[in-house]
Amino acid sequence: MELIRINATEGMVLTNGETYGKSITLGKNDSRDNWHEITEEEYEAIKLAEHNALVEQIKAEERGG
Amino acid sequence: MSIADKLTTIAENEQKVYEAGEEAMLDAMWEAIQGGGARTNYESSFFNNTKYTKKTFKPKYDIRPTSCYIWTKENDPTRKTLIAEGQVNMKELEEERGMVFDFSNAKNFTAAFSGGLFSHLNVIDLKSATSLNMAFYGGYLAGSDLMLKRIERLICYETNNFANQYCFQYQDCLEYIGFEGTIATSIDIPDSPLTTESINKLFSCLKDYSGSGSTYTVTLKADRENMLTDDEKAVATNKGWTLVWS
Repeated sequence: MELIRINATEGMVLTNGETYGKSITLGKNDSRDNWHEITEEEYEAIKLAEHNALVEQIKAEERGG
Repeated sequence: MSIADKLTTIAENEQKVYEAGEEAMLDAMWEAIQGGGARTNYESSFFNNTKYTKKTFKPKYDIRPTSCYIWTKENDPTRKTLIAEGQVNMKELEEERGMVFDFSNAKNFTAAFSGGLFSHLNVIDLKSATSLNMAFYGGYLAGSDLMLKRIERLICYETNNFANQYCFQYQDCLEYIGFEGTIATSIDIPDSPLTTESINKLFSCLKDYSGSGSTYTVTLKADRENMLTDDEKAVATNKGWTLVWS
């Protein structure tokens, strides 16, 4: 089976809505159509928001526990 | 022996006397902490209320936690001491102390190993794990030398959820994870310089979704891509897993 590789354009990040990367090696069931590009700034903002949400969740659990 | 001779002997052995006293104190402390070996509750207060370092982390009995929830936390004041004393190698500690860690009954691994006490973890059995939220997260330690280097055996089960948990994020020095068992959810290890051996172990543990049409992802540090052959990558992709190079 030949591997299918997708590279992000300079300054962009590939995502399927859940995962983010600079390049992708598609799995057997995956398709190029499932991936699109966002800017690095958008990516950083998403990751920061996700991270902060997790930290806040832990802090809330600590306070509750 | 004259008093003068006794004082001379004590003076000559001052360090040994001090160390013996310190050892006895730690022994008594851990005897109390572990209830003479009867303790099973190692919830968050186990680590949070008492700040252990390499010098003071000297358990006497097996540690079989039902939870290791927040064993370590952000802004832990022991960080500077840990940097000075060095980190704990779990396997060496087990051998030195004649005890074992058994995590097979632990449910909550939230922020369990994100605090820098351990440089090497030995056997981490996720059999009962229901939360892996930031379990091995390295972000609290960014810029320090207190990173996790190695997980000897990480025993995984289909019930474990690694997806979007920041489970391994920012572990910049983690070179080896000895994956065993089955991984059935997407997993992100985007910052770690994992060896080829470790990545191949990971790929061999991925659940086979080839016949299901489903796609899951493995996210790895970008420079790992060129370390792997196409045949090695195909072990994952043929099972329906997309490889993401972060």
